[in-house]
Amino acid sequence: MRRVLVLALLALVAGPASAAGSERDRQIEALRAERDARAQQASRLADEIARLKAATRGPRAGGELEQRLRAFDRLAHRLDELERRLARLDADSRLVPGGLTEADVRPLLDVDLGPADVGSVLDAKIALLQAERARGTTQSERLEAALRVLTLRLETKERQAREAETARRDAGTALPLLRRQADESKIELHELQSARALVQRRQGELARELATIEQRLAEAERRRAGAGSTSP
Amino acid sequence: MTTVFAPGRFASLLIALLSCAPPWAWSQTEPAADLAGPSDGWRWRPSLFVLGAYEYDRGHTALGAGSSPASSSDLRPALALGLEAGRSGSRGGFQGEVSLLGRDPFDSDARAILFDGRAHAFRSLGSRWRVELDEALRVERREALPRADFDRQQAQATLEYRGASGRAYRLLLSDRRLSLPHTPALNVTQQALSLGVWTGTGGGMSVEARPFFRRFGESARDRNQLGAAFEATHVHAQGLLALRYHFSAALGHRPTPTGPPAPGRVVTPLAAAALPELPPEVLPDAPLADPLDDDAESWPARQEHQVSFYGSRTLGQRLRLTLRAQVRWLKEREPLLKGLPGFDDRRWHLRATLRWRMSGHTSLVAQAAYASERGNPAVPELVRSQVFFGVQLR
Repeated sequence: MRRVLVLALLALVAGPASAAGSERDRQIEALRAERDARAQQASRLADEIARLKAATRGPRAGGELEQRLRAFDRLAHRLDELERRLARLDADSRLVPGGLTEADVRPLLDVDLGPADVGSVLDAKIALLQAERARGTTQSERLEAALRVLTLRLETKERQAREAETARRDAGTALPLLRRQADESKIELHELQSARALVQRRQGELARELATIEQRLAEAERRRAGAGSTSP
Repeated sequence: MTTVFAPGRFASLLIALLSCAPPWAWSQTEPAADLAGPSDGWRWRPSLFVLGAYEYDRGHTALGAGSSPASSSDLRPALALGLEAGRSGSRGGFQGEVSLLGRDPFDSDARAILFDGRAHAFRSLGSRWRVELDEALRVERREALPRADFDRQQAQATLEYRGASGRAYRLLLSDRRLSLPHTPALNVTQQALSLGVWTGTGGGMSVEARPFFRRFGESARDRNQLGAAFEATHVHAQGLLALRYHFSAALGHRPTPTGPPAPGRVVTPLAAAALPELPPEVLPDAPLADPLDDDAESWPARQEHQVSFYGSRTLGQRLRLTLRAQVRWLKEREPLLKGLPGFDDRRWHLRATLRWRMSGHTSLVAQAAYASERGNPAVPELVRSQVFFGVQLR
């Protein structure tokens, strides 16, 4: 009887807990999906803005550019909000800047060539090195796109932070919400700066990893060619 | 952590901060770009602010039916010092500003000094909790009118909890003290407790609703007040809009006592001489404190309504336009002299500021302000217009 009661109690406690856990997972999944979709939109928009900026002469932005900048402004606000909510639900999300997946920041495989590597082992390592080089190239493109978006978001956020700080000083104690707005802008600005630094750091590491892969690939192909010319 | 502080450079920049305007023009200075953003160490930024002001006032100066219209216009010089400092990171930050301003420093009849200091600090405690501390201090002294001297101190602590939905619940405790060293009978103290709900609605918009309870000191007739404030802000890369409505009402309103005092009750009459005396032909001098930032000084009233608007927008690369407006209505505001009946006090202020950034270190500032005050028996009607021009050097 006592065992039944204990089991019933456990079911009562564990049932809602697991339901809450799966609900949280669903929320995280939905937020991640929306964040990634918005980040892709932002990436396309950042490309268009860069193209329009390059074509604009003089200090004033043209109508089309201004329209795109406003759209980016709205998108950046949404991304800020999504990232904040995601960070509260899933602390690991802070480790990967917006728009990037874990695969985009994962280091390339370190494929070492042994002195005795010949024949099929060498071929397998060459195939692996080529696959890693392709992954590295894709990763590099994605990091570059993420950096463009982050740089534009930082520009937007810096202007917002300046607006909020000016208003805070100007309004004094009369409009207390402006104080909070200014604080919030500073924290968001800091998070964006950290994210950009992380992407830039990864870009540096990736360049070194790709250089190593190229070097080893050349070495492996040289060995294979050498083995082919000496074999009967 | 590094500290960015160069004493020699600081001293040379802090030598003088000249101003010819009421000090609220000081708040129009723009923060340095690096103070608006995060920093790894302390940032100190003195700046030089030179302003010229033309003030025009008109109104009725005497009490009752015998009031007569009067007007005045004036150009006033002033000397001031100021410094701002700040630091911020991913979890918290601090921002502080102090300014010391002397108006008409070479005229002993009109000399006035204002010290203004503000500090704001915030710190995140984990991903959900945050604490904020605020302190504001203001001291005004007038050599020829010592009875108008005042000290104002305001401290506030805020504890915030943010839910998974993004909504934040904010508990605020504040203490405000206004004291007049030469007229202590008019001192006002106030403690407030409020619970706010804040939410960001996306697209840079945030809204807060905050019911509050506040209690005035023993000298107030209506000590306990209940009210609510609603505030909305919208920030984007080109500007910012903010709107606030504030309402409060006295709990258990006590009307002005009439007739002889009850037996055994000790009444301490406040001598009329204890109040600042104004020559009948002269309009009251404008206070140095910003009239748009003085809600802390409001004496209790049976009912109070206040709407504040703030809007700023950058126009192109160099211009910024700021508009501020405030309408305030106090029904049965407590009078300065005890024993008199309460009165209605209606005020509205409008201010437009245009700032032109000439270079990274120099800005031109032009400001026009209009204020109207009616219903106050000490100043039955007062309309004030002011125009300022200035240069800010950083």
